[in-house]
Amino acid sequence: MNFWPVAKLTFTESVKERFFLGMLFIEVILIFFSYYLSELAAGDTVKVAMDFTLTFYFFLTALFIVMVTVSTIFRDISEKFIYLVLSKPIKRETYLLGKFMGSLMTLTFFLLVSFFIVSIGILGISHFSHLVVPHVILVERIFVLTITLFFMGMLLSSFSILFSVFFTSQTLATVVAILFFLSGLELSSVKEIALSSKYVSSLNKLLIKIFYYVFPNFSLYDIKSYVVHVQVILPPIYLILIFFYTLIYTAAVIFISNWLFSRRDL
Amino acid sequence: MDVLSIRNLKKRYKKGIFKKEEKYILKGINLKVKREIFGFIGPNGAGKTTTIKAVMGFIYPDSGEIKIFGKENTDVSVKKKLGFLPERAYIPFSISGKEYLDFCADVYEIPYYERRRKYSKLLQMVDLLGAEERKIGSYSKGMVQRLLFAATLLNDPELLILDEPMSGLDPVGRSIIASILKELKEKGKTVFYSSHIIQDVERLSDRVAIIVNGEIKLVDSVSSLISKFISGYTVVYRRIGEASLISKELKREELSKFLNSLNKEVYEIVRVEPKSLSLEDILVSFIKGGEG
Amino acid sequence: MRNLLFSLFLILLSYPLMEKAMSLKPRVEGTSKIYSYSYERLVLTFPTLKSVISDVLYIQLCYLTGNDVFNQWKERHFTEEDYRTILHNVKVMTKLDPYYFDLYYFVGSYFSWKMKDKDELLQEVNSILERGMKYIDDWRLPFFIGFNYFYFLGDKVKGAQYLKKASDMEGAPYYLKLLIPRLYAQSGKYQLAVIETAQELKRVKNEVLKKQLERRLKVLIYLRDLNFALERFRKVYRRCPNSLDELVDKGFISKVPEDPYGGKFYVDRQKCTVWTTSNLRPVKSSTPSSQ
Repeated sequence: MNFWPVAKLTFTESVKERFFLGMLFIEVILIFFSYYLSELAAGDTVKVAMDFTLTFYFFLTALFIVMVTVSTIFRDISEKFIYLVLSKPIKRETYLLGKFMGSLMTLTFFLLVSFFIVSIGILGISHFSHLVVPHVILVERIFVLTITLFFMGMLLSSFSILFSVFFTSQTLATVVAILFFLSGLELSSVKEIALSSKYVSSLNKLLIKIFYYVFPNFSLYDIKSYVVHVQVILPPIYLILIFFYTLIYTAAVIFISNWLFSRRDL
Repeated sequence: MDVLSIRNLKKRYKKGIFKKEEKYILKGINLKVKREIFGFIGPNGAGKTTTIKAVMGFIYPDSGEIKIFGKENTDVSVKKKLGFLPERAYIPFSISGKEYLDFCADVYEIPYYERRRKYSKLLQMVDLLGAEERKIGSYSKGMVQRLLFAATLLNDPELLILDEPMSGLDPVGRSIIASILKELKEKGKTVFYSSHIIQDVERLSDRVAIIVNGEIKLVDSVSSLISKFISGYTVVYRRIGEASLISKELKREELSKFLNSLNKEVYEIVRVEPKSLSLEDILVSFIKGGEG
Repeated sequence: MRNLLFSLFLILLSYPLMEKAMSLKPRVEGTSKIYSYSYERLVLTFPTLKSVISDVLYIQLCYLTGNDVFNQWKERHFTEEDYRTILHNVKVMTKLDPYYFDLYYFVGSYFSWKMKDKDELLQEVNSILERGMKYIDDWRLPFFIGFNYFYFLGDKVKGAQYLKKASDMEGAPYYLKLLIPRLYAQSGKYQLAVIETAQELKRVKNEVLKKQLERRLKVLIYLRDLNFALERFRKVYRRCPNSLDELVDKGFISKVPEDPYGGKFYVDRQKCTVWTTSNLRPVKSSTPSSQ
């Protein structure tokens, strides 16, 4: 099961793409945008700037991993590079796993650089905001957010692989993956509102409950309020739990993707 | 043992919204390839590429059996001694030639200390030595093809499967590939390739198969095919001592009589050329239907 | 190059055209009502953006308030309905991001003043601030609640209770400690005032504050005892005493004590309680150290 050659090649290829630098550049621009927007709020502008910066960080990471994973698979398939790969002693499952690992490696590199950019950006904004009572910034909490974003990227990447194997159009796979991600974010809010409302029928409530348990819950990775507000507490077991949740769900999705992929004519 | 054996390979292709319409691309292919250079020719759309895809395991046949080195073609261990070159091949633009070779070497588990030597040898063979550090995006199409060919030989394969290996190459590139193929044959390797450049097939192959419309029409060695279709001879001779040449067209049966009757003291024979249908003519006649 | 300059020229040309068109565009002055936001709708439309939405809405609120304060819109001030809508929106905002301090600060410090005669709105403000106290540990939240109670709503006792909570929190100004017993005293709860002051005296380390508290304690004890005496008088004679001297005459107290603040104790005939002319503030001639 040696997926390392494919993973290394995927990583080398993805990191050199202009897309990688482009995303980082957009991130920097969005940090400046957050700063200027935050100046409109009277009072704790650093809180507002952090809210915006971290939200952009969150969504940019999701967009990045979807695009990298989907494009690397589709490029291989549509440009027939996959024939070259599969003509070597590599099983189809190994190839897919290698693609997944390569995407994760790219994601790790992206997150490390982004963490650096975001932390410096936020500290810079705090410095230039001249608040009378400075807003407390704990950089280690930003790092914890980066770790949860890595888990989120892992799960989202596995779903991107599933959609890439299932659909034959790159645009469709990308769009479905993004919509899937947004739906996964909505879930807990929908469940909270629907289950407490008296206007929703019990059948619908049951459906929503089933959906909630089966569908991936991406809002688990959203710990922005923990980073922004010092008084919010995150028990360490939370990280362990979402790690295992991610691992189990990702493995399941990869198995399904392998099953689909091994049946497909290329 | 046959290096490659295909038995009754059938593949259909489903069309329409509910996949109701069926069209057979391969209608029962039977081939046995031994240690030789085996050419696979046919018009566009005959099923050459489909056959090769099925052999490589990229597509799954509807029925039939494909064995490589005696094992099922889906067995991954078979690929260790297999080399493959698709037509219109592509490598990601952002990596360099050397990175691609490293990738192949990683998969074949070639130890690091051997790589430098192997790369130099292969790159020299395809005349790309020195270009490996450049990104693939900067290569010309011919260069990509030659690099891929070099990479194909990295694992020292026993069987090479090539889909249109000469297409896209200039005459220099073609001659490089041709000489490599000859060298491989001398080492006892097998080459199974498809092409529609008949002249090359005629030159290089030991045996050919002609495929038209998903069916094999003919499998035979090149020499016997050509000789079967010899229609006559052209004898070129001259008077001893003189420079001008005389050329005479003869029918097939007339050759030995004429040669015997020629006064060897007066005339010397410069050359005897068989007039035969070229492989191309044979192929065209098959396409048009009916035996050549 | 020429093409580039030409296209630049075209873009510049389009600008005055746009300006002219904008000036002629029919503008509806309209009622420009402030939009009332629904929590459910916002959360469902923008998942996980709760804190960002509350930031954006707060920015909008700052803008509207600024307009109102600086009178940017001609004759456009907030109506009562606008205030209700704003309050509702702030409630939605605090639901979206309960940790956002500036929201509570806004309602507590600015909004209450605009609502000073509308009790139910003030109660709503208080409920918002109460909810905030669960999330934010800042002395200003209970302070605003307490202030609302004793200043606008007239409930000095509740006010004092909340101020006590505030005064125990980090960062609270020291004068709150003095304000609390005053409020108790003003609402007739002398014993509570005494207890409060005595407790604080035990804890305080600052010498200046200690002297002030000691003086306050003294006067409160006097007030308490004098009011006890007044009650006993009322029980016996079923009327309010005419003056403190009457209490001395009838033997309920031994003598009229001196006010450490330099004022004079007297009987307030309307409320029938004992109070002092100094109002618990140092009269010019007396200083703490003169005790």
